[in-house]
Amino acid sequence: MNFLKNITIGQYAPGNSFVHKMDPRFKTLISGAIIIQCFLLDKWFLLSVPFIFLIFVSLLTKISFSYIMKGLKSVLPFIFITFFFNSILTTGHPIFSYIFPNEFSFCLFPDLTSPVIPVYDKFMITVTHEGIEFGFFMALRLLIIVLATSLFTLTTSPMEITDALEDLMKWGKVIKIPVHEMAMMMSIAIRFIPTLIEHLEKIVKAQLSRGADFENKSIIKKAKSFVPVLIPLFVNAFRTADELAVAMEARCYGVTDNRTKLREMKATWRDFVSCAVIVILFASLNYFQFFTFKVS
Amino acid sequence: MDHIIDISSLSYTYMKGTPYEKLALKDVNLTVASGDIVGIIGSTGSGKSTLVQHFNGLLKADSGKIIVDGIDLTQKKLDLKDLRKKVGLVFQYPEYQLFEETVEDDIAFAPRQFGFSEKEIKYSVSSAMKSMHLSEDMKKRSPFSLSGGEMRRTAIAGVLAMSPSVLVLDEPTAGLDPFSKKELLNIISELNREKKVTVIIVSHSMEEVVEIANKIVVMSAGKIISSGTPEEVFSDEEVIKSARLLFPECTELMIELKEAGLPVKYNLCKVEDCIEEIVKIF
Repeated sequence: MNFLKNITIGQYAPGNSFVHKMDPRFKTLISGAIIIQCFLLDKWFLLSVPFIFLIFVSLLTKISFSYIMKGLKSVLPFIFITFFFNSILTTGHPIFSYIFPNEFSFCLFPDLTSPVIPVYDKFMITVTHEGIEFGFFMALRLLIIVLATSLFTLTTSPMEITDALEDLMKWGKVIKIPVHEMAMMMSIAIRFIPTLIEHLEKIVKAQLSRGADFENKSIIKKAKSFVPVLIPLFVNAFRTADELAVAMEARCYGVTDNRTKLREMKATWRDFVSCAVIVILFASLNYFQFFTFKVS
Repeated sequence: MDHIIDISSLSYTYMKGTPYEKLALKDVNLTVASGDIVGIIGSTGSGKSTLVQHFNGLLKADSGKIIVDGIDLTQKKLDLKDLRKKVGLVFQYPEYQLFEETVEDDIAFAPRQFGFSEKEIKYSVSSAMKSMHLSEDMKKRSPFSLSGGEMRRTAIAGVLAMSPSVLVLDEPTAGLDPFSKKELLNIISELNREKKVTVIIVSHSMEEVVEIANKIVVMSAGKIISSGTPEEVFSDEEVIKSARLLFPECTELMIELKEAGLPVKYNLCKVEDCIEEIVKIF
């Protein structure tokens, strides 16, 4: 079942590297900070700094580069589409323009000091210098967001992520947000994804053995062909949920208020070093962004 | 006798190209004669379920050759539907694949998918239900209202209804009560006798396999470590132990009798044979 094998985004790759060993709370905060930082910068050459930083981090994780790329592959089309539309839909100095039916003009290095004349015609495509620059900037921003999140999920197990979120949201208890219960629900949901995939795979195989055909051309037939898979899958899911609830109650889940943790999270030198690096990096980036290259 | 399944140097790796890569089968050679009942035994993770999924093309071998009923499974243009009609594969806990509103419709799923005519469907459903000892009045009931054993038999009937020439059962008796277990095994050997279906049973329990199989294949860590008639296989104590398996209870008894100095053959595995052997020495 190849369609299940290729889901790398959001998948954990066990390891023993610097990044794997970091405290999940710090990893959550740092990846969040990288994404926010990404939106604060509006020059592509400033954005390339966190990008290079992430490349460095991905080397640190010791996960093979091709494996990381596999996860990025699914978002590459979006990145290309973003680049493409930005490059043709931004007003600026045209590098290439095509006017229907057969008029081309081409100028690799347009005079950037000349005034911009917005020309939009019905049958005209104009690739502008500014468009390419902006498209590249947007593509880079998307790439950074995807790379940061996939590096985070590749090096942090789902359970660590929920633990981290629960800990970071502790303050929510004060205003009566059931943080622990929500974290529990999340971890159960995450825990059952592989189980459900396994069930799904088994049912698909069983029905394939009975002659089921999932490669139908027509959409309606295709949707119908999944009925023999979805019904057993749901029946299974409800049964499993029921069993789990009984098992949890049998162990007195929910009786005590303050549950202790099996795995305590502890910040180490790694986390402080990474934090320091991030703070210095972002402080200087913001300095350049807001004081040196500030336009207008 | 001609070989209905012929496998040579088959290897398979799960999740190839990921950090989870795992070698599941290594250089497996196996032939199954038409009309046989073959028991594949091995402990959990020995690769037996992986092996049987190659028989109807659910998994594709990394290397090696498989020929099933004259069809070469390694060829590029493989008619999977034709192959899957010939090889009926019953998975572990097959009752979890039931989905239709009535037992009849569920059993009719496979024949319908393989393009049987309405008349043929009706006939094959009835005959499959009869072979699985399911009474006619169950036809209109919901499969979810049946007992565990009945659900299991309905699911197997659902595979049987496409009249395969090879029936592969992965742990068919797992989770059934002793009576249903015995009944199911009887049905399977009946099927083999009357309809000449080649049967392959996967199991980790020796006892039930030796009851009906005339050939046994022992797997361990993705390799076949022994194969032959039950008597042949059980004569090598070391092999059975290295595969982390237990002898059937009666064989265990015979081994102990032999060790106690009695002149008995110990590689017997059917209760009746053991009784006969013990009676002989008195």
